[in-house]
Amino acid sequence: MNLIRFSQFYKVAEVFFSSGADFTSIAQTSKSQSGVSELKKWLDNFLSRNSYVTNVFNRHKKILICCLNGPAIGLSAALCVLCDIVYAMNDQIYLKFPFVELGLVMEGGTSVTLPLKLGHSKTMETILFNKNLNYDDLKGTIVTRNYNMTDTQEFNQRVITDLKQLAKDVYFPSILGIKKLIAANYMDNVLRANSAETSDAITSWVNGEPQRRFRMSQKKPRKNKI
Amino acid sequence: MKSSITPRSEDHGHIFVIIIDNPTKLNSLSQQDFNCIGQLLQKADNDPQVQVTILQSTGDFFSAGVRFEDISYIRNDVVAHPERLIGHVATPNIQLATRFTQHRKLLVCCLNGPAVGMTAALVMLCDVIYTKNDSGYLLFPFANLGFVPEGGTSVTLPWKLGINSAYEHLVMGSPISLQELIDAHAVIKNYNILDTNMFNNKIISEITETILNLSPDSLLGVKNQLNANTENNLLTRAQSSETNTTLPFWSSGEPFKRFLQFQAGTRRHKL
Repeated sequence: MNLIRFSQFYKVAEVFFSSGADFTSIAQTSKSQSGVSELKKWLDNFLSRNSYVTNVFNRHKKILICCLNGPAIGLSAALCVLCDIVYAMNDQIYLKFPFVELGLVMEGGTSVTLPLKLGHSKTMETILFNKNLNYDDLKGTIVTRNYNMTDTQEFNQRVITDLKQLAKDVYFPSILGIKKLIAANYMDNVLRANSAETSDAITSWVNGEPQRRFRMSQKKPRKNKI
Repeated sequence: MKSSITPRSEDHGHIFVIIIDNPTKLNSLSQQDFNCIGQLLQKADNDPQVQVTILQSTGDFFSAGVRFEDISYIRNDVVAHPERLIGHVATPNIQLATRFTQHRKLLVCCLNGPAVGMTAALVMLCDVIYTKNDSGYLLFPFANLGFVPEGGTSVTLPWKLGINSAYEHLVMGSPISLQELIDAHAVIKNYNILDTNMFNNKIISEITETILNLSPDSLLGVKNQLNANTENNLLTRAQSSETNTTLPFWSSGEPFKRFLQFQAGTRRHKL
């Protein structure tokens, strides 16, 4: 019998859940590997990684729970939206998808998961106008419970304790069955989106627009309201 | 045994009411009762006079779901005739669910109190849900009882409440409160009435007044258009996938064991 009942996805002791892609690593990738074609460089460093992690999340057979202890940005936020259940540490959390600001398109399955979970209009407004999704936007749609806590470690621990308590009452094979039945409604759409999203974005990475914008973000005081 | 289901005709036959009427047993239903609901739905569907079908209950509990005695009956029946399990599982999940998803008239549910399990699944299959007061909640304890979502809930819950809420309530077996149902727009209106009869009658008179000025053909046409949406196709598919996924759970015996434990009080739900 498989002992991993739930997969938890969390970060420990930080105010941010994740600020997304690391600017420095993008800068390094841009400079390095001279002689290698831009296409190969970004296939290796963007497309393969991005589509891989999205795919792994989407096809996960267990219930995926995200303990959102703070803001999440970009691909990290997308992974949070791919989770089945999201618990917020408090109402200071938010999700941000600065795709338009960075010269990118939607990624991490968000072109399917966001309309599915937030509705079409809300998704359009959020993504196209580069707005934050605050706790109030996420409550009841993506976030199902607010723990109203301040300490990340305590919060992470508390969720695990709650899940252990739950495991006493439920029949584990039922949970796998639930996941399979519900995921059948959207899994193929995310699979398709993952391929379309990464294929659309690779052109931008080869042209260098996201790199330029990441560089600007790194140098200048960010216009981005985080 | 007396049937817990009674039909009634209102508004000169324009409204067909199906009433769950066994409040002393918290309106829990036998297999025959579920079959009866299906047959009445079909009757309403085929009656050209009927424009709206309403599902109502009595007392303060909409329905506690499948009756424990019936689970015991199925268990004993299956011991003697293992091949009958398929019929027991498939009949509500395919035939009854289809009666709801293919229903051509507007389907209104008057939720007078909590609904559990298969009956709660039927509530979610209705087009419009009104609640009597904030005593109403829905509970889907499939994971606690050792099987998987049935009655279309693997589609109706994500569709009407959102995917993450669906996972939360199906996995954790936690009740879906009235507030949550209202926030998700699954419940259209809460009447804040104490008496169930008054609540039931108020809705019938309101609907009578509303449909007076509506074109019956438009009502059918609108319903037909909305029924053509993706969700309804997913529901059709779910009838097969839910039945086939839940069948091995039932044949393993785990649900029978857990139902018995609940009945005997040795296993308690958090409620």
